[in-house]
Amino acid sequence: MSKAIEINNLSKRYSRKKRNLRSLFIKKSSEDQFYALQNINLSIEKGDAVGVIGPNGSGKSTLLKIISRITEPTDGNILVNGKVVSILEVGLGFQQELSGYENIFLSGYLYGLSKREIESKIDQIIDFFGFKDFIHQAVKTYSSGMYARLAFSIVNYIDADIYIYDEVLTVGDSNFSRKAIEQIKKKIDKQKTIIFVTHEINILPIFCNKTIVLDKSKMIFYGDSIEAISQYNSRFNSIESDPIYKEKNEIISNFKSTIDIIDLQNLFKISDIKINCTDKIIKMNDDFEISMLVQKYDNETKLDISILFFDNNEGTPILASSTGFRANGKEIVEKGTYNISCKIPGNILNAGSYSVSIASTKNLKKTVSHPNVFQIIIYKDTDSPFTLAKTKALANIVPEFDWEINKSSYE
Amino acid sequence: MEKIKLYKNRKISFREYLSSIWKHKSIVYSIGFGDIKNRFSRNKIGFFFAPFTTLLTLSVYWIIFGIIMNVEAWGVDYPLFALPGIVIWAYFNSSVNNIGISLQQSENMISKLYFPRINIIFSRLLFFIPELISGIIIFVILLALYNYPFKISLLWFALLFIALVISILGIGIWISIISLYNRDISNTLSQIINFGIFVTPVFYPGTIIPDSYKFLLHINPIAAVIELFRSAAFETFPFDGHYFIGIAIGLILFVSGFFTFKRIENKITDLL
Repeated sequence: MSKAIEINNLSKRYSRKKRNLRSLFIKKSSEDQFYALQNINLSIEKGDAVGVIGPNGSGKSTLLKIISRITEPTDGNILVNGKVVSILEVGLGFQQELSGYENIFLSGYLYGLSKREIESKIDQIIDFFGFKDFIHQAVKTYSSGMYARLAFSIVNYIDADIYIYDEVLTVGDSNFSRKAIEQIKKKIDKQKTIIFVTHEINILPIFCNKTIVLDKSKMIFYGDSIEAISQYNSRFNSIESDPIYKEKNEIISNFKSTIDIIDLQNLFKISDIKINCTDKIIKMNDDFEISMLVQKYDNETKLDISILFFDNNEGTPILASSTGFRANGKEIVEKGTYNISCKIPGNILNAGSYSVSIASTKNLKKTVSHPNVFQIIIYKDTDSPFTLAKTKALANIVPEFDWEINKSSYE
Repeated sequence: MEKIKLYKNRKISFREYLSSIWKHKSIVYSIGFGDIKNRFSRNKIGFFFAPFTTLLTLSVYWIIFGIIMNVEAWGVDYPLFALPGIVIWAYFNSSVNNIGISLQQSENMISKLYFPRINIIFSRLLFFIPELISGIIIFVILLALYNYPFKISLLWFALLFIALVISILGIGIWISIISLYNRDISNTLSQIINFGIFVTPVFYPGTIIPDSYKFLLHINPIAAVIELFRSAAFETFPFDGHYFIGIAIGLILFVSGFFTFKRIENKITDLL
C-alpha cells in the first residue's frame, strides 16, 4: 500500500495580536501566538478510512484545512498524494444568487474540472440531490438540509483520491444520512482514502478502520477506531463543562436511558430503562442485562415488551427478543408494577455500535416501537483469541456455534 | 494521478502558478456571471439599468460642462468627447472598489476550497462589463448621429482596454492586499480613488491643465487611457506621448501586486 497523506512534525500557529501593514513586509515575532495544532505526526495509507474526533477547539478543522490546502502549516511538512475534495463546515461556498444548477458548475470549476467533465456528471448529481424541481432556483431559497445535500452530491461525483467529510451527516434527514453513508462506503470499497470528522462517535467503528483523537491541538491517539473511542471516553468523561460530551458519555458509560415510554391510551408506562453489566464498558464476551420498570394500569390487555437492536450504520434491525418469546412462564396482564429484565449473553453481537429500541405489543396485535432508547457500544475483547477473527467476519451477529474440525486421516 | 506536495512556506514557481490560474479559469466567468446576475436580479428592468446609468451621467455632464460652462473640447461635440471618459472612468472606479473588497466578500468560498485566489480578483473585472458594453454601444450610436467617420484608429481601443485592465488590476490587487492587513487604509484608499475623477480628464480635456500640474495627469494611467483614446478617435484632438508614463505605472503596479499576491496567497485564509 502506498501513502496517501504523510504529516511530519506539523504545527499551526495563529497570532492573537492584531496584524498591521508592516507584517506584510517584515516577519512577525513569535510572541502572543497560540497553537491550533502541535507536532502532529501521522501517516495515512491509501484506502484508509480515518475518523477524526475531539472536543470543540481541538484542532480538527485546522487539520482538515491544512490537508485540503486551504491554509498552510506554520512548521513541519505535509505530503498529500492525489487529488483532495472536501466538504468543510457544510456547503462548498455556493453563490447565493446562482441556481443549484449553476452552482454545480461553479463548484466543479473551483475543483478544477472542465465544463465537459461536469456536464458528464450533472445528471447523476441532480439525481442524487433529489430535488429536481428546485435545481433551477437560486440556492438562497434552499433549506439548510437541501444546501448540504447539494454539496454532498457534488463532492460525491467528483473523481478524487482523498475525500474529506466534516460533519456531513448531522444536517440531512435519516434517509439522506443512510444514502450518504452508502456512498462513502462505496468510496472505501474503491480504495479511496476517506477522512471523516464527526461528533457522532458511535458510528465510527463500523465506518473507519482508524481514528485520530485530538485534544487541545495535540494528537493523543491514532489507531484502531474502537480503541480510539474508549480512549476518547476515558479522557473526556471527566469533562463536565461541556454539556454535549457529558450527555454522550452518560449514554455510553452509565447505561441509563433518560427516556420514559408512556402508552398513548395510558395503559402502561415504562421507566427506569437500564443496561446492567459488570464492567464500565461492554466487551464482546460480556453478558449484559437490559432492565426496566413497567407500570400497568389496567387488568385486561396482555402486554409484551421487546428489545430490538439496530445496526447503527444501515439502520436495519438485526436482533429482536420479546417477553412473548419465552418469559419465565409469566405474563404482564394484571395491574401493578413489574420488574422486567432480559439477559443478553456475550459472544453474540460483534464489536460495533448499535441502537436499541423498545417495542410494546398489546394482545399480540399492535406493536408500537420506541426507537433509539439506547446507543450501545460493544467493544473488542483484546483478551479473547477469537476477537480478530470475529471483527473480520463482516456480520453483526457472530455467535460461537459448535464447529468441528477433524483432519481426515486419508491423504 | 497528480501529486501535490506541500512544504512549509514552499514557493510554487511562477509557471506552476500560471498553470494553476489557467486550470481554474472557468471560475472567473462563473463567479463573474453570478455577480452580474446578483447585481441586476433585484432591478425591474434588469440589464437595461446599465445604459440608463451611463445616459444619466452623460446628460448631467453635458448640461453642466458642455452647455452651461461651455468646455472647449477641440471641436469635438461635447457628448462624444465626454462619453469615453465617463465610461472608462466608471469602469475603472467601480471595478477597483469592487476588487478591493472581493476577498472579504468571497470568504465563504476561500475558507472552504483551494483554488488560486487571484481568480476571484480577475472575476471582478466582469462585474461592470454591462456598463462598459452599453457605453460602447451608445458611443457608436452617437458617432453615427453626429455624422463622425468610423476611423480605423478606433481599434486602438482594444490595446488601450488591455492597458486599462492592467491598471485596474494593479491598483485593485494592491488595495485588496492592504485590506487583509489594515481595513482602514484600504477603505481610505478607495475613497481617495473616488476623488480621482477630478485629476482625470473625464469631463474636461487634459489640455486645459497648466503645464506645471500636467504631471498629475501623466502619472495617472486612467487619464492616459482616456486621452489616448480621444486622440485616436478624433482627428482634431492632440496627442501627448507623456501619457505612456501613466501606462507604465499601471504596469508596474500590476506586476508588483501580482507577485506580492502570489507570495501571500497561502496566508489569505488566515488573514481574512
